[in-house]
Order: sequence, then C-alpha cells, then structure tokens
Amino acid sequence: MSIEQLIKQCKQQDLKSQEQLYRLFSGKLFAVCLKYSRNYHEAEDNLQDAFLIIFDKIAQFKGKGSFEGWLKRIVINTALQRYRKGPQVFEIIHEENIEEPEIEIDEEEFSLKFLLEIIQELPDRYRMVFNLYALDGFSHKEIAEMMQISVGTSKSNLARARQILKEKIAEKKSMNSVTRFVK
Amino acid sequence: MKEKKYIDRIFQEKFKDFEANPDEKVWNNIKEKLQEKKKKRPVIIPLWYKIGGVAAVLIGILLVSNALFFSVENEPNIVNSSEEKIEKNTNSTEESFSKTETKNTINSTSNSSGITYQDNEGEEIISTEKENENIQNKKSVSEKSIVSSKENTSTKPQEKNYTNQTNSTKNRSGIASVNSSANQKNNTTENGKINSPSNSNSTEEMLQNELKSNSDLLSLSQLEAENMLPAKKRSLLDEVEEMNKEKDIESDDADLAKWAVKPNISPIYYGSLNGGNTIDAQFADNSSEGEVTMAYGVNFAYAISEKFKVRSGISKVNMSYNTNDIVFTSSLNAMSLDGLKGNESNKNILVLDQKEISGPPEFKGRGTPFTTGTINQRLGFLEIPLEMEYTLLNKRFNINVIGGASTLVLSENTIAINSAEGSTALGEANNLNNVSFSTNVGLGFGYELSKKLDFNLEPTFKYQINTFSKNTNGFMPYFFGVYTGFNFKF
Repeated sequence: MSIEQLIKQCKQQDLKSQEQLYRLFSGKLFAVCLKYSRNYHEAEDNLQDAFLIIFDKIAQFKGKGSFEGWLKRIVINTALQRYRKGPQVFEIIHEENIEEPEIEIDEEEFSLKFLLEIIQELPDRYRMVFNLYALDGFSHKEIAEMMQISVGTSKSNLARARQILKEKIAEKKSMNSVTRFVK
Repeated sequence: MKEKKYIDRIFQEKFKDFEANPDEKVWNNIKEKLQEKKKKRPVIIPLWYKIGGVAAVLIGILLVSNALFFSVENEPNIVNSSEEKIEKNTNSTEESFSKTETKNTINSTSNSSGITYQDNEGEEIISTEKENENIQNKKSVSEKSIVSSKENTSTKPQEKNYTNQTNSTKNRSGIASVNSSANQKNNTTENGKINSPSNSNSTEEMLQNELKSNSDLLSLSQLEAENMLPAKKRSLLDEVEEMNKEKDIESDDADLAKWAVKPNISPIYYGSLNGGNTIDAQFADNSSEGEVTMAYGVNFAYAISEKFKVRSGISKVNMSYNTNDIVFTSSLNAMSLDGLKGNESNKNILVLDQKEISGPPEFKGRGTPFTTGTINQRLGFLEIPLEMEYTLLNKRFNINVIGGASTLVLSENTIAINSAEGSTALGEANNLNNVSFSTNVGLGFGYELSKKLDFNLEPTFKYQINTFSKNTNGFMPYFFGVYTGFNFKF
C-alpha cells in the first residue's frame, strides 16, 4: 500500500491502517520525542499524545509538503506544549554576558546514549532551542514564534545550551582519560 | 565560532539516522484510546441517521398528504375537468394557428389535433382537398360525434371548425371557434351562432361575445368554466397561482396566530421493542411490563408558514418498568446485579430469577426462604423536544403530523423490589446515561373551541436512543403517550 493510500485509510479512522502508519513512523518519531523530552518515560507519553493528535487531525493533511515533515512537526509541537505548561525555571541571561569557555573537543567518539542523556538533562527551554536550531534546522525567528519567546532569548538559550553540552562533553572526556590513566 | 559549529555537528552526525523503537505498550495505549473514540462515534451517527429517517418519513407523509389534499380540493370543482379539455383544445388550436399561418397544408393541421381522431382527420384531409366535399364530411363528422363519447363530442365539433377555418383560411377565428366548441359540447346547436362572432378580429372580444350569447343557456358551473377561460388562456400556472392567492387570503383571515403555548399532560406507556432487561442479563426472559405513568409539560409552537410549525418546550416524563418472577433473600455473599449501582443497603440482598432456584420458592439453597416479587425500575426525565408540525387539515377540526427529536435529561433513577411484604429499595441503576435522546413521531388532533383556544390530543411514539450505557441485553426502550392539552394561540 502506498503512503497516500495509507493516509486515506487513516482518514477514515481505520484501525489497521492506523497501526500500519504507527509502525512505519514510530521509530523516527520516537527518536524526536527522546531528543525533546526529559527522559524515556516522558518521550513515550509525548509519542502517544502526538499519535493521537496525528490520527485526529490527519484529515487536515492535504498532501502539501512531506508527510514525514508534517508528522515531525506535530511531535515537536506536542513536546513544546508539554514543557510550555510546566514550571519554567530560567535564569535570565544577557547575551553579552555569555562567555564561551575554551574547550577543545577532539574527534573522540561519543556514544549516542551519552549525547541523548546530556540533551535530556538540559533545562527544558535550552533543550527545545538546541534541538530546534541545531538538530532540526529551525531559525531563531521560527523558534521564537513557536515558543513564544523573543529572538534574543532564543539565541541566548542556544548559547547556554551549547555551553552546558560542551562542559558535559569535556567532563566526560576527562573522566574517560582518568579511567584510562587508572588502567 | 568554529567550535560552536563543531559541537552542533557532533550531535547532528550522531542523530542523523537516529531511530528508536518505542515500547509496545505505547501502541496499545494509543489503540485503546482510538477504540474508545470509535465507540463514542456510533452513538452520534445513528442518532442523526434516525433523525434523518424521521425527517424522511415526515416528508413522505407530507407528499402523500399533499397529493390527497389537492385531489380533495379539486373534486368539488367539476369545472376543472371541462377546463382541462378546453385547455387541450386551445393548445391544439394554437399549434394549428401557427402552422396554418405559415401556409402549411391541411395535413399539418390534422397532425396537430389528437391522434385518437386520426380517422376523422383523414376524412378531413380528403375533404379539404376538395372544398365541395367538405360539407359532406362535416356531416359525417357530426354524425359520428353523436355516436361517440362525451369527450369526443367536445373535440369533434372542433375539428369541424378546423375545416370551416381552412375554408375561410382565417386562423384567428379558428381559436375562437375552438373555444366555442367547448360550448358546443353542451349546446351543439349553438354552432351557427358562434361562427358569426368568430369572424371578429379580437379573440378576447369573441370570447366575451360567446359568453354573452351562451350565458342564458349555460348552467352555473358552466358559467364558472367560461369565466376561467381567459385566465386559462394565459397559462395553467397563473391559474394555480391565482387559486393559491385566494386560498391565502382566506386562511390569512382565519389564522393570524403565530405563536401557541400548550400545557399538556399524558399517560405514558413505557416498554421495549425487543424484550431484554437492563438490570441483569438473567432477567432477559422474564415477563416484564411498563406501568402507566404520567408526563406533563408545556410546549411552545411557532408557525413558520401556514402549514409548518416548529415547536419546543419542556416536560417531565416518568416511567416505571416491572420485571416479574424474581425471588430475593438476604445473603451475606449476595452477587450484585449487572445494572445496579452497589451500595450499603443492597449489598446483602440476593436477587435471582425465579427459574434459578429449583422447587417451590419457599425452599432454597441455604435454608433461608426466598420471597417472590418484582423488580420495579423508575425513571424520570426532563424532556426538551424539538419538533416540526405539519398541518394536514386546518378547519374547526385540525389534523397535524408531528416529527422530531427530544433531549432527555435523567432526573429520577430508582430500583426497588416489590413483594407481598412491601417494597425494598435497591438503589439506582448504574447504566443510565445522564443525557439521552428520543425520536418522536406523532399525530395531532385539535378542535377549535374559540379563535384563541384549541383542544388538542396527540398520540405520540417516542423511540429512545442512548438511554443506557451498557448491559442493555437487547432492551430497546420506547414510550408512547397521548398528550392532551389546550392550545392557546396568540
């Protein structure tokens, strides 16, 4: 069955087709959820909510643009919605105050699990902005609109996120070297 | 700057083809939620189907009644039938008029008149070929017309006139003479007289002349038919319109009331179309019946047209339903009934179908005697109807067809056991929806006591939808009421 046909069937709320659609995209979309969520459990919740929205609103997909892009957008929005609701504990950082620490990162391989972990550990808004900007290619203007923040805030959040990530990577690296040394 | 890009790239590269399969439970949750949604959906769709069905039935009834109505109205107008004949005649002459005007041969004239008279026309053709023979033909036609049926007599003189016209080649006089042929039906001897006014140029004038000349000979109904003639000549549609206008004027005088308020009261017969039992599956086969209860309320009606009224209102409906042949006893490990909300008072009462216990009801399993009785379920609803009323007959005695739907809001819900020893409350049903619906079909009979006041009687059948959320065991509730009340119009 072509994807168009599958979408058509899903528009008629056919459960079998809905399952097929889920099987087809859940892997990719769950990865998105993992990046945007605090932990595995919340990622599952987000995926579930997102798919319910997808099946509910699938009739609104008119075949303009990529279906996968549409799905991803819903998943991201679902995640944004969740953390927009939650308590927002943010220190206000002025851009000019940001100092970029000189941390060297070499070609050393970091595991995906570790990278995911440090993303998830980021404060909610930093995580959102970093994901949107660095991984999903949204502009600061788009991010500002999506998250109802200013462009400046988006930029400073991104810088903070990068800084935290770099620190964590550096930390990990030094730990690795320590363990190596111990050996 | 480079470094910034670098850290982004570490993540980008890693996450480029990142996929992670979620736990199966995620899909199971989604599936469950989807199914829940689906369950809700059919409740809504059948409701609209049913309302649609009622509307369809209503429209059907309207169409049928309309047809009946028209025929009834027309029957006393004997004039109508003769009018139609005249209409036919004028049509054919109009055709012939145009054809002869373009100097067509007489063959075409013969085509324009009806097929049934082909024999005669054939003769006409022959006759018009030779003018001398015409007179003979005319005679033969008139001879035949005497023999033939009434309808034929009305048209055959007409043909005679055609031949006359072809002789004189004056078509206008043709129309006039055809009209006069209608008169000939009743008064064939007038033929000669009519022919002379037909020579005048204006057809209208001619008609009037004819009317004058014939008036003393015509009966009253014939006169009416003649009066209709000029209108008929315009078109049948105009005529219908005019008749409608007359009707409107009549009814406007009679019925100026737009609003009506109707307090009413009705006995309610409650039952199930399909047996079943909502209290417990074990009672599905038990005999059961609805008790006659009462409903009372107020209806408001607004007349959107002469025939249609929209109505709403509010009323209180009570129902009572008995499930017979049950036995009950007190028991420590009483099993609860499916459709009963458990509470302190009923948890120690064991209720069973009489068939469940063998032997006479006085002896049962653990030594305690069972008491026989009936389960009585009482329901009360606030009913908010939305109905259409179509008037079939609007005289002193009026008849209406009513169709629509009601929203029912649950207001009373009790289950009790009645036995020879008294009544024991069991509690309330757990499967009643707070909001349910019904589709309503009814007939309304009214008698006008005064201009402002009608006495009304409305036998109405209401089929309930979505009353029970579960454990219906095939129970399809309906109720029937004869709503009686006074209708105040203003």
